[in-house]
Amino acid sequence: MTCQGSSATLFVIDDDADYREALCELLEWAGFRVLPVSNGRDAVALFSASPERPCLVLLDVRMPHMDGIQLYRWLREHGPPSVRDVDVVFVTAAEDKVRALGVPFFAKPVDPEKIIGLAKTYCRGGAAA
Amino acid sequence: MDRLDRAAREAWRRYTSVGALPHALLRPNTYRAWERCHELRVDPTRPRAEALSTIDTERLLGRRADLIRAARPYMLALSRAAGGLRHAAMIADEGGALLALAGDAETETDPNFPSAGSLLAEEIAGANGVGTTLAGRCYVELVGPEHFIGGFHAFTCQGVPLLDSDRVVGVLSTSVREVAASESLHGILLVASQGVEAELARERLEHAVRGLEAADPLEARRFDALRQDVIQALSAARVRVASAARASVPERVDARVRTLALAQRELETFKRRADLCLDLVAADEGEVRPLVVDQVVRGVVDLLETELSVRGVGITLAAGEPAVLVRGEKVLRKEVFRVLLEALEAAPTGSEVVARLAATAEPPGLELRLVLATAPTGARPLARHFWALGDSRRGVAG
Repeated sequence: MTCQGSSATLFVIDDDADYREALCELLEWAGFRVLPVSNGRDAVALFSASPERPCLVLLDVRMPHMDGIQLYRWLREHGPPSVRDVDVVFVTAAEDKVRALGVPFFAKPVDPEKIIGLAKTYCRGGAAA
Repeated sequence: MDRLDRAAREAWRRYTSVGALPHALLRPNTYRAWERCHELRVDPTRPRAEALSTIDTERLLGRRADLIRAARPYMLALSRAAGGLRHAAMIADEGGALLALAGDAETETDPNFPSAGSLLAEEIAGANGVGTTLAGRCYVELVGPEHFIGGFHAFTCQGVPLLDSDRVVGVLSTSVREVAASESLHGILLVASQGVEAELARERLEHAVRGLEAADPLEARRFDALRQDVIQALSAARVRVASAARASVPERVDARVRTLALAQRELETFKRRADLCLDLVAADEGEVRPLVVDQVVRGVVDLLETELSVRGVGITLAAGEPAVLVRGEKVLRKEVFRVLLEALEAAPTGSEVVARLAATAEPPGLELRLVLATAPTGARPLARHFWALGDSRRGVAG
């Protein structure tokens, strides 16, 4: 899943395949380069192996293997230095769980235009329009 | 559509000059709408819709904030799909009062175009995309002069009635200046209307789960987790509709059709799961009738899809003869939900649970057994529920 003419990549980490695919399609059609990841464990592997620093991570909370909050803590405490301070925004229906973290979040169901606005803010270089 | 436009224009000319309703010049639905307008003595020369006062409009918007909130993301998607054309996507209440619109700047500020508080019921504004949709309780398209009042002849409008628990609660409508543009919005409008209905169901579900908090906080937390899972499908559908709105360029027409089909499927999934979740939260027993237990089990397993995935547990229903129980439908769903959850909580990660329905002879009845199929020492029972024969609400009917 790639998009020509863009540089920075957004990571969409969500276990719901339909939602993940839908969000990636929306962001791609809005001109962003997107990498879908289906759970926290796969995200750890990706962050550990890839030299690429995403411009933004859109992160779900409730996922198998490793949930979004565990992944967030791993990133901040044990992530490779190049991604330890990467921008993360939770996109979740479990607002109560992320509110305590003090991390920006969007409640599901999301307003798609707000997600695009967010991507434009963090990944300006990647947007076609 | 040019022929349609010319015929309707001639029909309107004849009606306003000699009072004739020219049947042959109008499409059947339009003709029926004009007949109603004629009987209601609507003035066809009216230049614009009547409107509520500012204070009454504010009260109306306050009362129907739920509907406006539900419609907003879909109106924005419709507006985006219309692109740079003169257009408006509108939401109206069940009486035809316009609640909100999203359009291009020129249309939104046009004093002759309806705005929040405009009254679009047929008896006031004649045949139009909102009022005629409400009168017929079905999808309506009106091209230019098919509108009954002259003030609306510049527009081509479509409307879809919105249902909440089988009651019409409003209309989602589009209005554009070009017929071709209206046709290109048709698919999105139909799916968007289902999206608005799903958003209303979501609000009902959230209200029901919040209602549990005072009486049983633990139960409320359990159902809130389920609510979070259920709205995933709605989230996906909302995003798909927004994507489809961005696929208005010709080379993406096929992608738009595919995306809308996926959105529709996700909305159906959401609706099915939300209805089931509402049954589980409800205090009443539901209608007592024969129920196929296998189907109820499958429905609850479907509802628990995310929970199963997060826990890394699979549940399969063993094949068998269909079992039917005469039971309150909500009670049966709650019983199946409880026993599946009990099994799920006892099952280790990575395990496979088998659900089996079996008639029992002594005592006579039906049993749902859940066993751990992947236990190293063979199948291990996890949970069971028994329905006895003999009373009209619990008996095995066949």
